[in-house]
Amino acid sequence: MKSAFFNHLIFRFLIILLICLPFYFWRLYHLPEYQIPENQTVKIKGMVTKETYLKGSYQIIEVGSVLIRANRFPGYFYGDQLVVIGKFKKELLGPFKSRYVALFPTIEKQNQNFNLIGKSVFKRWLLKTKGHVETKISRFLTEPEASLLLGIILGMKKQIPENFWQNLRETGTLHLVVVSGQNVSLLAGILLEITVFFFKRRLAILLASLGIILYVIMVGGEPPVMRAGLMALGFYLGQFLGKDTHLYSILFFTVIFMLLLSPLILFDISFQLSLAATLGIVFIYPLFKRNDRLFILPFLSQGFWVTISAQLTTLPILLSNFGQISWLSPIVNTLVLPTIPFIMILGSVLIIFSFISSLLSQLISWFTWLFLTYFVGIVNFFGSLPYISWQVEPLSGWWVGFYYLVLVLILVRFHSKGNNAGI
Amino acid sequence: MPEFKFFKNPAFWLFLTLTLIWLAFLSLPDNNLHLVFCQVGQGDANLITYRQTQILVDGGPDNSVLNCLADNMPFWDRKIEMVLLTHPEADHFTGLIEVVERYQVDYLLLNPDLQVSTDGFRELKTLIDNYQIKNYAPKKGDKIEIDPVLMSFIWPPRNLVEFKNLNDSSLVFKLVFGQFEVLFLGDISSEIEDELEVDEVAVLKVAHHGSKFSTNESFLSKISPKIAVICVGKNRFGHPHPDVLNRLLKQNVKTLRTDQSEVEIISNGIDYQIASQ
Repeated sequence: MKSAFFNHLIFRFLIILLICLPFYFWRLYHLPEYQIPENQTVKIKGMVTKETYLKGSYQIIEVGSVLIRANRFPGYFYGDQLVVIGKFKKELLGPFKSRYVALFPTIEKQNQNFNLIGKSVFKRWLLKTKGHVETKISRFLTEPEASLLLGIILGMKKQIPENFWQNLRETGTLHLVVVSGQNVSLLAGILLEITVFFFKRRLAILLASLGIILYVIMVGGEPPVMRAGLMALGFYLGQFLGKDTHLYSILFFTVIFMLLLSPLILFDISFQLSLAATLGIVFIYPLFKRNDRLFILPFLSQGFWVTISAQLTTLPILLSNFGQISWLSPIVNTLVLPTIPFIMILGSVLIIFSFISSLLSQLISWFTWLFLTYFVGIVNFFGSLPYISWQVEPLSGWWVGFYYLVLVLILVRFHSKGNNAGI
Repeated sequence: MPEFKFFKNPAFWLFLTLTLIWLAFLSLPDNNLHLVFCQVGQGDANLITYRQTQILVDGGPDNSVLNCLADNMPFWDRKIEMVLLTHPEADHFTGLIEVVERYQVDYLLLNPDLQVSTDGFRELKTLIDNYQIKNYAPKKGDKIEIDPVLMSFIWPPRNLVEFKNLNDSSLVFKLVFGQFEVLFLGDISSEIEDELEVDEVAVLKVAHHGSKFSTNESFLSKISPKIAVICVGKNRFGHPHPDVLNRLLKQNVKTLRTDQSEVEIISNGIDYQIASQ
């Protein structure tokens, strides 16, 4: 029975895919493209489209597809109208994606006109609030604990110290800190739990949805966050309508929706990784879960097998793009994963109280600090080990294709086996 | 969310509280003076701590100083009793912006008369006003005591207002803890070194990241330090200059550099030693 349903579902997915594919290619080839002449001084005008951040003693500003490296002061902010005069260099980021880079150009800030569209005014306000939160939090916590908390809760990478960043990367835990889809799905669970406690079910779901939308905008809407946010909304919708929703259907429609909306994210590595990891958790993790013996350790087992599942699907992407293997990553992830819910809950309480009472916030901050400092300690310890990660030749496309083919075949075999057994 | 049940469990809170108490207990400071020359790249950031009192001299060129503070202060201490900016140059003040934003700073010593109008320094001045930090411009002859640590200022002179360059306006002081004395020179040049009224010290913070226009031989033999610390990082100025390293070698001064590792010197007021890394 179940197997037939599954086959039927795959058939339906294929039909939808065939309908959407032409639209996708049509969108892909009709994207607006900017051409800036190179090797000469050019003047461009535009709005800062992303939150600016610091890299060492420099400031990184993004104006559409133009990336500007500037001195740290004066600081620019999302929504600022800038006139940039300098030389721009084109950089290819993928087959269809490129960006321009300008190093230390002359920047003039234009007087704000208040005819900005409502959305960006709202987003500016949200980001201002976020900046406010950042200042408050960093008065209670040391570094890198403060930026770890801000990274986990608000996706801020602005202040993360260079060596800690390096250790996060080496231990394969960076995904927990910056633009983490995983944290959005965690939040979705927490939000629903809280709102259901206070309100009637339907109202609670609506409020939780609103919370997720606000959160995604505030965090900055990077592809992995967007994906997780949309999936959370899909899940909420199912709950709202009282329908049984399957994770894979939600994932499928979310991805289709995102690709049609902005075709280029298919070439965005963070999107690829996030999608691959989710696929791993949806299709591989349940296979491990069938075997109770794999789940003896109460706290750690789940994190370990979730990480292994995600690693199996993301490995070729990591290898072909970065050529870096972090072989202890499952262990480090297993050790730090259980702290994330505590950090999110205590951290949110800390943020709320930081606007109310500094004495209480200080007290809460110490409890939050405990979990954060454990996280930092584990990451720094493993990050400082020699041979924690290996650098290898980037994998060629053929191998990536071959890997996924074999993986899919194995998965299909295991899934059909399991389903037969289930009948 | 299975984690919610933990928050309702008193044993969970008891466990966390006990861990916190033990960690706080273990991070209690000793009775020695700790002199930390932070690893902040090309720039100066030096932390002086005695029990729960901290004095930060300069903030380095970026936010690395925050790591140094986190490593060398107990986690529950969010107060820096005194911050000192030797002179308003980016490789000395930039890190202070975040320090002032994140820590409660009681006093700030700097030269406010100087007409420096870089964007970063203006930002720092705005923050000093916003947080209403008491500030003071020490001059030669001033003695500032945070018991039992004494800072004795020997530059700039009271009547002098014009300087050839910003570096020569640096606040210069001697740190005195019992019989242990340290000389902080900021970025002054040899010309100024020769004018300083100072005798022997144990530790010298070498002027201007080891530039060849500072730290001349006559000055070195006058103060005859046992240890010299050069605050330096990757740079395009050729700091520290080989001449300076040679002059120090000739005088048998043990030279430590912050581009190799963080430098910490510990003193009980009589003896002192270099902390092993």
